[in-house]
Amino acid sequence: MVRSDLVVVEDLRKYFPIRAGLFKAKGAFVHAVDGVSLTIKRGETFGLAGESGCGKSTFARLLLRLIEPTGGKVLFDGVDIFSLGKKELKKVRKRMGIVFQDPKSSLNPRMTIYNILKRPLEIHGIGSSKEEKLNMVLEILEKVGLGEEHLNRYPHELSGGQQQRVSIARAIITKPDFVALDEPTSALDISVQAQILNLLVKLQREFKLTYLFITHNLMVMQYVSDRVGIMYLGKVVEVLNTREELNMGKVYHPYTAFLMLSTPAVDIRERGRNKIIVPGEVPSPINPPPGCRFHPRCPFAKEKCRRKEPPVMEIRKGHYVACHFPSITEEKLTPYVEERMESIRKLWRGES
Amino acid sequence: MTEEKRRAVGVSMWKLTWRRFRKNKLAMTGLVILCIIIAIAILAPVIAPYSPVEQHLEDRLQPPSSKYLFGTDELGRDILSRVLYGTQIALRVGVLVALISAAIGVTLGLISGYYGGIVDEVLMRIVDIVWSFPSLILALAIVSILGPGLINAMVAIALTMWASYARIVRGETLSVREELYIEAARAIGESDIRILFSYILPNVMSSILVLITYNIPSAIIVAASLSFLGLGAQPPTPDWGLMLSTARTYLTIAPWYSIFPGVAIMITVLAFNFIGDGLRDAIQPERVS
Repeated sequence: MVRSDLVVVEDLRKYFPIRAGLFKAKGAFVHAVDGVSLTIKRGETFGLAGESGCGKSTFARLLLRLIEPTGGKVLFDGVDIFSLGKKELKKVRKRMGIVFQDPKSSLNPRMTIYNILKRPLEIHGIGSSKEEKLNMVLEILEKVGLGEEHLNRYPHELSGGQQQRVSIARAIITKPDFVALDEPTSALDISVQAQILNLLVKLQREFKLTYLFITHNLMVMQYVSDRVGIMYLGKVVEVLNTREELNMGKVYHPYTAFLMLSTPAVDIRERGRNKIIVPGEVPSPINPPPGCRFHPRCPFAKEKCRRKEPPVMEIRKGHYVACHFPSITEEKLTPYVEERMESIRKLWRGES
Repeated sequence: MTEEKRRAVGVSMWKLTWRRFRKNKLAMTGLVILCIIIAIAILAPVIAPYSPVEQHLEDRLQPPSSKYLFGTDELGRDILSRVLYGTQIALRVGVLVALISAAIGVTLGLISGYYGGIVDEVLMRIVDIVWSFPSLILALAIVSILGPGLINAMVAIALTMWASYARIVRGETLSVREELYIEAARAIGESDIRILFSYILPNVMSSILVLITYNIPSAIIVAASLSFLGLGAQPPTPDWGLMLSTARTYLTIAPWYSIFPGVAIMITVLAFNFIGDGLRDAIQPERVS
């Protein structure tokens, strides 16, 4: 049976205890991920956006069980990965991959590219002979746009883009179902970013991969994602279908609207106009504000927002939002967002 | 791109280290001296004019002469031959002690830094205790339990010296552990043991190597001190420390007796220290001002 929901996340939480010196401060925690529930469908690209420090990377690490959760579940193809023993977990690891933001730090400086790519095959017992493994490594290198000449190089001899290609190759050499991409392009030059994005899209089609794509760049997000979750202080505040709604600018959470409006205008004539940025600073995740977490920065906040945490509701089919007053955002901010999205789209089409 | 960086393309980190090391005159001097010392140790039976234990009772406490270049001791043994043979013992003690203490310290340091928590607390407190004693005093205590002898002295010294490896490797492990490639290794399913020894160890190796080169001379000195105190090498072993110990009695009438083994210890220790300094600067150029 093939499940259409590949990754199901239920009320996932991760609190990091804060340790100060010898005597541990009791009860102080960083609420990195604080009750996230969402579903990633097989074959789609689920985008996750939000400011730095909102818990995006922690979320990705939890999905691969690189860290243990404080609470909640992650079902990978129906299996709760946090209940697995070492052996079963290893089997699941074969079906998952991850690519990190910093390509340089992602590769062991004392291993050649060949050894880096050969390890996943050895660990999971793929390929019987040495030649077979070598051929598989060569094949994957070619798929990511590198070649035989890179086999015996060390990571420091490659450029950032090439290093990221190696990271991607390592993540997909076991032919996984799911790959978490933790800001895979944000450490790269603009020109290289586009190449890597195109490579990721190409590989997704070829290997039928499901992506979790984390980024703070909404332009990139629009280009690759099918659906997008907007994260704020450890919570997902809005999930929308990019293919239609984000393009049209139909958003219901004020944070999503501000995030989209703060995308810098590339068109010179646009500069200075519509300069709307998210007001205020991100509150500390150690003591998140009560009620709605966005209320200290929200221009529309009312008494209810200060007291009661808004539940997640399905405002339209496949569109979820956690806000007490979604209609205010729709009324007051949607026109601006639509205008901004339109100008970005124009730019893409070259009609500036 | 700097000249060094351009040439670094296609060059492994060890080759790069060697290039920088080669430019350091003091370190190269140390290396040349060490090569000579090693050659002496190997060739001692060939180049020594006499056996190190052969007694010439008619020539006791002779000053340096053409017959006995470094003079003779109280039993008429040739001091030159004894100093030459002593090289073997000093090198063996230095290298073995360094390797044993590195093996203990590195393993414990890796475990301590990687797992953290209670294991780390306990191990580091033990390190604190070991470190709070001067190594000679602690080695004395251990030898007095084990009984005198060169092997026991070596074990005792290793048991006092592993702590510095443990502490340094732990610190390095703590920082390497945070690197993304460790997380990536876990993501592809590498086991903890494998991560410790194939990912973290190679990346802390340079510090260990520097520590070993510093550790060898101090091991030689502590071993010589133990022998001097009668707890290390036993007569008639041609050990430098032991020679100094007996020479002390004849210091006024036969000063050459103590000078030659003393100078031998000094040269050996200096050579290692020069190499250690050069290696540290070559491996961690960013830490040199």
